[in-house]
Amino acid sequence: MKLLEVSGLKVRFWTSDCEVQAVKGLNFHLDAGEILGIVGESGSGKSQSVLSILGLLADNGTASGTVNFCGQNLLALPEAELRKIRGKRISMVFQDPMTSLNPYLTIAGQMTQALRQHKKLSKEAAQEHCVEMLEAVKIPDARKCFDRYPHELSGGMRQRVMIASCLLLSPDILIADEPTTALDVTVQAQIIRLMQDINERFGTAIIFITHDLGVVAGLCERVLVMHEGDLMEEGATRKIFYQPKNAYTKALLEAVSRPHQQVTPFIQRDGETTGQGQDETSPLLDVHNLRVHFSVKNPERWSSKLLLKAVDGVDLSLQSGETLGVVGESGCGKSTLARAILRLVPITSGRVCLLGKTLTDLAEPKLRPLRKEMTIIFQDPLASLNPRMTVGNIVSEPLWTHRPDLSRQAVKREVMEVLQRVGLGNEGLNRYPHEFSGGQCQRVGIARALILKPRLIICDEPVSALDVPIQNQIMRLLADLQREFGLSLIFIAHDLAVVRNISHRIAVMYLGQIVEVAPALGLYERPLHPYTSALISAVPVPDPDTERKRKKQLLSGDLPSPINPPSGCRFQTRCRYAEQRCRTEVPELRRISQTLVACHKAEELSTGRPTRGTH
Amino acid sequence: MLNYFVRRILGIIPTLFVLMALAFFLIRLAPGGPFDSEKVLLPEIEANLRAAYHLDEPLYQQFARYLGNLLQGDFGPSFQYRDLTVTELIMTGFPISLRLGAGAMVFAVIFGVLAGSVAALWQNSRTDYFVMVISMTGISVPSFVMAPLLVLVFAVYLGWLPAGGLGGGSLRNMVLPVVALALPQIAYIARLTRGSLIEILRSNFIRTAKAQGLPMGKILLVHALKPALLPVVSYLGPATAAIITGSVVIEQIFGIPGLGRFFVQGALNRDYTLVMGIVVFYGVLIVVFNFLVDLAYAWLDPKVRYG
Repeated sequence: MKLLEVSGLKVRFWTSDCEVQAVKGLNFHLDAGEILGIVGESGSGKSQSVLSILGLLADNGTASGTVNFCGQNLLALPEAELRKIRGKRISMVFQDPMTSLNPYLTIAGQMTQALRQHKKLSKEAAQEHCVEMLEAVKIPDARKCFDRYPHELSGGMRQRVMIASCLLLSPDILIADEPTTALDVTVQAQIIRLMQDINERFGTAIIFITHDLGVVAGLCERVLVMHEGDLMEEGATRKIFYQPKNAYTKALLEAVSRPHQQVTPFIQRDGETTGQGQDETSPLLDVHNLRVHFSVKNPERWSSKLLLKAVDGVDLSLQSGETLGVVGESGCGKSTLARAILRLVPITSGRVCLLGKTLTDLAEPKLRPLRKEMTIIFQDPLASLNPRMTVGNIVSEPLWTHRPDLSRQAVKREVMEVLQRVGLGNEGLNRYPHEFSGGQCQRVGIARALILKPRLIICDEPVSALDVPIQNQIMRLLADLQREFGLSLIFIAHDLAVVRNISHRIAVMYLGQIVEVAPALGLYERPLHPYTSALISAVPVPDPDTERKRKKQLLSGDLPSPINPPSGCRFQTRCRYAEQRCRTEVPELRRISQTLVACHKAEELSTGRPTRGTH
Repeated sequence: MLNYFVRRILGIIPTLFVLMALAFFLIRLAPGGPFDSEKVLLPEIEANLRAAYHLDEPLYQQFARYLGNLLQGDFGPSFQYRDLTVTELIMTGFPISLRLGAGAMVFAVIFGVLAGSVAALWQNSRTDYFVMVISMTGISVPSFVMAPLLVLVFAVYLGWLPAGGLGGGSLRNMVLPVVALALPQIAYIARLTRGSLIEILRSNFIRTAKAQGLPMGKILLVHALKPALLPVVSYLGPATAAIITGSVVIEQIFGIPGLGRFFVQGALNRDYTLVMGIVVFYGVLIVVFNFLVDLAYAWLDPKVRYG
């Protein structure tokens, strides 16, 4: 039975200088009770098409065509009629749970408001119903959460609240617009499980919009592939994945990284064993027992301060020409670690040595000459470039500081050379960052980092904000540059799939500490720490058959607060193997063959499990 | 929370001290003194007078004496109104000024927020441009121009309202001064409200509220207004100061016997204690009001409230 039928849907936007066609004639339908996926890169028009269905386009946008729902054309419906459908028959979960809830109202305020708009209920009855819904989406301690403000909840919890308020009126259709994109993989896995649950329990039809083919593979029955406002291909999930007809679909499928399968890596792995022989040659970078603690306001008492232990005793070393991947959920301290190594945040205690010099002992003026040996590439490509400076100036700036001897011509020559090398060409020299795409901006960031020919580049989630094909280009570029210049890289990511192909070794962080360091391939094949295997298991596999068959280890709950970390092993609260010893005794990082792991039960787990069968 | 209170209140003390020192020395820097008049006093009498009011002491001693008295709640006697103390003068003038000032404030907030909201809701429409042009005019035309103009139109030509005076406290007499005092504030608040409301209406949580099927009126009242008013609330502190200084001029123009008029008269006659008294009184008022605004802000914004 067709619940929703969209035909000839076009969405246009008028900007100050031109008219943009975001959606160019889209046809699709949604059956009752099914889960339909819409996949595409950013700018493919997937979000705009669903926003137009509910009349939620931005003011400068218009939609034409027909959207048939229960015999009514939603696009032609007057606002007052449409309001009776929004939230009641069709409701919507948005991408960013941080901004999609009203920060000035309690959860109770916003949920009951929506409920009582459509249903005449007493205040008490409405509250009762809301709490029931919060419990249905598995929010622990729902009644307490009900009286909180959004900023007191984690991202995953906020998204659950969003979903709960969408389900209040048991709608026929739930539209989810990239609901897990802003969340960690472990939380993403929980939310996807929840979506399946809702679909089964309430029979709600779901339109799930995402750029992640892995999510689609496990969740959706049918998929639409969109590209630049056009529908590329439509069909059952298995058909799209195993017999794609459209060239774009094929390209999209090839670009996805598959954490559980062997693919050609960007780097040569002969360095993999030498990466372990740390004692033989002195390492380029040596970090010893590094701690970074921040003092934060105590929310309960205005006067007192609390210690947030962002990085709490990290040891690592890096050889020349090696790439170390660092992964962990958001809030695990990986970005703080990056900044602390570069002395961009004050260090509480510990030692960082680069090229045999102890950075942590040097005063800032003495440190400055060493800064040309180590640089950083940031996560948000556009925000990390000064919008008022031309690309030429941005890239040449480090030279003015560190190479004052160079002439104007020499600087220009260097800049052009490096821009050429990162694949930007020379015409960008006098243009501003906003004239470039995200991928190009990240190339500018790389050029800026590269121009001083540093020995160490720290990449702080450099590809997280980019589409998958662009991600691959950037990572290939970084790997090439590493070979060419003998760079050492620390590559930070929240996604295990991303670091796999570029890293020689991978370190997994949890609550400010490293729990496992292993050669890249070994880590995926034989994760020793339960947290590592949970992380690997949480990454959805872009292969419908495997994804549906594999047994997933869902991590329960959120990352505990780094202000008051659990006693003993920090992972014990979420670990399914935890026992009495884990609650009291802090596990040391110790060596098991090629792996360093901090878990009391690592040996048992490494022998007691089949090597590959866990996922 | 208590700790925060104490810290804030302790922070007020140096502010007030600097304010008092500045006012104390500046008025004494001005040429002339409290006993200069057309009728020249005999030197002995003037010397006696000066000694009686301790004006013959070195300045720092006078300042210390003044502060000492102030701590006991004594503003000292007025030099000009010989039978009255400064405290008594403030108590007669302040209720009148308060009526004017509070009236202007309430008027400014109500109409400012209203005009700003209307402009934001119909952004880039003719209404919007009209509101914005009017408020730009309101900000740029000074009150000593606006007030006589209002008098000219509404009192002289149209004859609807009295041109000045207290009129025994009648409401009709308050209309023109309140409007003249409030106009620049209305204009400023309207611009603030418009700006923040436009931004809030574009935010994701408003889209969420729309997607839940709430009507625009409810979205505005329940979801948008509170955050949109935060900048207005933090402007209320500076607005109080602006209204107090504005009232000095307005009271002169409309001949209202409020504190502002005492202040101007006191300054002209070098009535040191009266000027000091009013400066300290208004200083405390402004500082306390700013403190209350901060508390209101914390109450409105849960993120501030919970640190």
